[in-house]
Amino acid sequence: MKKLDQIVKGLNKTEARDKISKMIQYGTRFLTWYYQKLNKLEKADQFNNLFMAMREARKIFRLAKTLNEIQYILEKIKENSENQNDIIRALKIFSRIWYALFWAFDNISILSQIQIIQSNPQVLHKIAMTFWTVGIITNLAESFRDLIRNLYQLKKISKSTDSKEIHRRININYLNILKNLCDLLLAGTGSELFLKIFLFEPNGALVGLGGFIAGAIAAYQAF
Amino acid sequence: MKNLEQIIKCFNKTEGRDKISKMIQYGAKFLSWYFQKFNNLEKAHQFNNLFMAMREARKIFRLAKTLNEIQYIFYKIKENTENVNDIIRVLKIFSRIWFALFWAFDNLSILSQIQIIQSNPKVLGKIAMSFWAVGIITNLTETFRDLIGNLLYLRKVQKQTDHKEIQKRINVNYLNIIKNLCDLLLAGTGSELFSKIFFYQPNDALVGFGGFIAGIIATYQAI
Repeated sequence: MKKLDQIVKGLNKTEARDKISKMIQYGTRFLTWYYQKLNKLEKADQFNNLFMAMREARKIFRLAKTLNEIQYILEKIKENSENQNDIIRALKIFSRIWYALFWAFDNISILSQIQIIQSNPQVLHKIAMTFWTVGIITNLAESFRDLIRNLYQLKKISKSTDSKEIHRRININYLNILKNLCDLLLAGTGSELFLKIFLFEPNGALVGLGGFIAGAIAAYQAF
Repeated sequence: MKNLEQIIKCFNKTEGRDKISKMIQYGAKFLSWYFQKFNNLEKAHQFNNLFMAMREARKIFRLAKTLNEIQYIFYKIKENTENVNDIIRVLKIFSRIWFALFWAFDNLSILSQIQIIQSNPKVLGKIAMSFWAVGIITNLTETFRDLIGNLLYLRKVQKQTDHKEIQKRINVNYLNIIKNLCDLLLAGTGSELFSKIFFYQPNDALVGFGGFIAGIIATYQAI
């Protein structure tokens, strides 16, 4: 019963439900690639349908997500910054600005796809992915900086309880770095930046695997 | 800032976001009918696209919603029944059983629509709507019974504070009755029960309007 309570509580939060849907979305992307490789086209087609249905549903359900970022940015700006590292605070704010723009263009892209507004959805999607890429890189910069600071602190402290707390923060840093690297695979592919900079386009398997892992970590954090 | 926080808090709950999407879905349905009447086919088509996109997205995002009902049913069965009216308790349990079956068939219907399972999505959709209709009728019975109980109690009560509390419960009863009647319009149309019993099929304007009102009330209750 406790497990059921935990699952239901998690699923009742938009973020958790979205991240589980992300796991299904990219898991099916991987399976589509897998069954195509085995020439099982009917199964590949089934999983591709699920992938596309999940992708569209998630885009619809994140309409107005920019509001979350605006709220976070306003709170960070008003925050008492005495005990805060200024560079990390600035990186956090910038990261959310890029994410706010990502959600905005992502929303406009789906609205133009269903012909509510007259625009090219592919172009808007590419712009959205580009802002997502910049947001992820900013996140990574902030996570790495925070990780280095925590590792230095770990060397200095003597108390066991402080050590536990810093270990916990370091684990969070590692999880966030892994999640962001996996997301970078998706964003870099969608914005075509990997193709332009590294002349390399990750295939369906890599994108599927990356998205699945990012979704799993985000779902764990959201629950 | 407080209004922004309230809106975001609502959006961050699956139920809140779903009910706002319901408002948009049925508002778009109404507008699609409206522009068709005025022969503005382009606008009618745009709003119809929005209606269908919202409908599919909501169906995807309520996968596994049966778990919520199972949890609620378990709680109601284990509940201490000393101060609870037995008939209302039984009606609540039965209502959630019908809703659990509604969500289950609704989930199967969308999975067969995207060809994950091999079945007729229209038949499954109709079965889902039928369970929804029965669930709504059970809800209405329970709400009317509760309303009558509260109205009789209101006559007897002396204290001002008790009077306020019962008035609040009566207002909740009225809201639930309106919401369920509006939902019955949708469920009765989708299951074709209105067609079979009353030889009458509500048009898109009525369905759109009913769904929109039900969505507003449910959103207000979810905040």
